[in-house]
Amino acid sequence: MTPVLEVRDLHKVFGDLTAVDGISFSVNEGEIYGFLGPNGAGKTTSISMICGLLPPTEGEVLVMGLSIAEDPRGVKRLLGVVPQEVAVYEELSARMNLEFWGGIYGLKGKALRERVNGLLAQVGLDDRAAEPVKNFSGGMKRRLNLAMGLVHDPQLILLDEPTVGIDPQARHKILDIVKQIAADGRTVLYTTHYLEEAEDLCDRLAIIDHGSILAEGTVAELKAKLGEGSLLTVQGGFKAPELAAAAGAVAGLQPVEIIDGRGMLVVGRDGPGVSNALSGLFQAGLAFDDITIKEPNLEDLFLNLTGRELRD
Amino acid sequence: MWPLILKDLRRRLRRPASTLVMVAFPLLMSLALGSVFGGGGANDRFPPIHILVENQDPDGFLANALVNALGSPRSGDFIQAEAVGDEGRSMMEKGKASALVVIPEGFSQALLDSRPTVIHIVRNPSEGIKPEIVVLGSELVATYLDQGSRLLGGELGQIKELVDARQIPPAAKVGAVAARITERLSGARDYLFPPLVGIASAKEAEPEGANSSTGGGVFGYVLMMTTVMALLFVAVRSVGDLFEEQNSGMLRRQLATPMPVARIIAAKFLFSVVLGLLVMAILATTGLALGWLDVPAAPGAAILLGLVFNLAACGVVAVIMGLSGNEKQAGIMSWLIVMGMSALGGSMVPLQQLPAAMRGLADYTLNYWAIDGFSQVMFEGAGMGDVAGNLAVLAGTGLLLSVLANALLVRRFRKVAP
Ligand SMILES: Nc1ncnc2c1ncn2[C@@H]1O[C@H](COP(=O)(O)OP(=O)(O)OP(=O)(O)O)[C@@H](O)[C@H]1O
Ligand SMILES: [Mg+2]
Repeated sequence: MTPVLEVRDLHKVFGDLTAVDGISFSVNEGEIYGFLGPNGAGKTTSISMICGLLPPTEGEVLVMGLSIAEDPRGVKRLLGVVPQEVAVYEELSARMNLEFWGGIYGLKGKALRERVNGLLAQVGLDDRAAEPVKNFSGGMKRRLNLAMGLVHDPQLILLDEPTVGIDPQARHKILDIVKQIAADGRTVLYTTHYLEEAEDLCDRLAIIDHGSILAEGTVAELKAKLGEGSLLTVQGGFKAPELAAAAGAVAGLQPVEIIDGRGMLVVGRDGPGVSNALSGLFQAGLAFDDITIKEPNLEDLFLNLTGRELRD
Repeated sequence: MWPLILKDLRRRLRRPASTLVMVAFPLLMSLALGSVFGGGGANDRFPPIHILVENQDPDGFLANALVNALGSPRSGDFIQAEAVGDEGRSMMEKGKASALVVIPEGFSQALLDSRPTVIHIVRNPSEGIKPEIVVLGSELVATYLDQGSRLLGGELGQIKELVDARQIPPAAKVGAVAARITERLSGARDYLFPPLVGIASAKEAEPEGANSSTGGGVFGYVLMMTTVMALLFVAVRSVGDLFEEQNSGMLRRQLATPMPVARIIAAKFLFSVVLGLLVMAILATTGLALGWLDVPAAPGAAILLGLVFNLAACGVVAVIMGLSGNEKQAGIMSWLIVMGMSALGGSMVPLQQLPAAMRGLADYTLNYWAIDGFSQVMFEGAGMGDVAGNLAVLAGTGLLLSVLANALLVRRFRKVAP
């Protein structure tokens, strides 16, 4: 199956600055592919090249097998682009904004009206559709900004940090819409610098910094690259030596800190797995009141890969 | 193409202030200049308005220009302005004038900074209007002022510099015109609009046939010549909208669609022409309703002239914008060129009254070809054939410049910063 998006060795050089330094990846139909990276990583520059706004210094972009360099109009027809900065006509209503974008893609009459109504409902702006957008809250504008990229029902949707600067509730709304889009069989490229978003949303993701992909894969695969295992914390009426002995009997389970009534253990990556480790402890006759399992997160991975925090 | 034009028309409709200014400007100019140049007998309808002006911003360049404009011989019989100090209010109480205009301290700076400012007008109670202090912060005027300073926006500051530097002589003229416009937009409105209403009612009472063949005479002529200038400003605004769309990220968004850049620009042109025709239609209708204009023998020729002139106006403005280094420069350059063409081409002073030396330059302005054509069609009963030359010049220039402008603007707007 041809991937919906295939990016090969993409470079962009601005003067002395290499903003994108050899990025390659591909995204399959219905996937949400994440681009996770800090400010200035090259996310927007990459998106601009993928949607034909910026000519790459080097490299190739194929959308459903079509090259953006050879057939820009053909590719642009397949794309929905949602820019990082909200760009809407403030004096027009949400409906007029959507009608305008639909009109550009050749929708008209009843088909346009129905599509616009559907979208307004989907992004939850149907009750405010006639109001000038300048009256909208930040979150509402963001939703409209998103909807405007979807009017023509594109195959591939490029979302550049669509939730930046809005409250958690509004963010959830947008994430739900994105999930819905993917569930409808559309493909999404999603850039963000929020880890939680990337983890929650993306089927696969690339961690990028300084214009390069540092790691790529599913969330689980990426975590696996951490090398460490899960952190297991148990509490109960046991004595420290009892837990230490029980843990010692399970291969691949390393005690980190054990005191009376409480223990922290790491289940190694190549070890028995969390459930086997736990059953090993149960078999030793221990009983616990409380068990927590903490997965390593992408923050740790990012720190690991780049030596710095994801957020400034 | 149509969705683009529709979108721009809707945007203009939702934010009509700037367009209203374009419409108001020729009407106000006609009233002011029409009365200066004699008014074609209609002068009797306007008793002179005696106003007092208290300038609390004596160091402000705009305030001074405004005072000069009010007190200049040009304002002539129609407005008799007298500069006063703080005795103005007591003079008003004695009924010495129709109104007292108080220009507040810091007025010029506020306009330059696009900050809100309020001109106070004290009305004369004995003139039949309730005694009250009218604060010119009423919604309409506030909009005018706001739009006026926004319209002239950054340019005002530039013009101030030009004036202060006293390097380029025409610049002083430009400054005065800027002030005139500011005046129209702000102080003038309150005493100019009531007479407007007055004309309409006075006309109803007039017996049939009186002086009807000459129409409004000078009023109609001034309306026509200033409308031509207003249409150039419509083009500046409309074509300049490309910069606004660039700044707001809308252009970038449009470039990410399959639409070619050339179409986006062509649509902006068409929108500008359509809006120009609308403004022209509104002004023509108003002129007809006020009796300033008569329906011409060849209305088709008038409409066609309007069409080709609007096209040429967009072309010239767009070429300037295409050649300018940046947005600011584009704004100033197009503004200066529009002003220059208007001054030389008969939009500010009737062609017949221009000195001979300047008269020769008029041929190089779009205003001249339009005004010459319109005056033949509107006032001399000329037909399509009589103005064929004007039509050809304007259409030819319009097409040529549009093609050139399109190429320049495509080059300019194709590239977007990521
Ligand atoms: N037109 C340009 N000219 C020069 N440098 C540019 C240009 N556009 C982007 N850059 C630089 O390229 C680098 C990548 O920028 P980009 O906007 O792609 O980052 P980003 O990952 O989208 O960041 P953010 O999270 O802040 O949006 C930055 O260092 C930026 O300054
Ligand atoms: Mg970005």
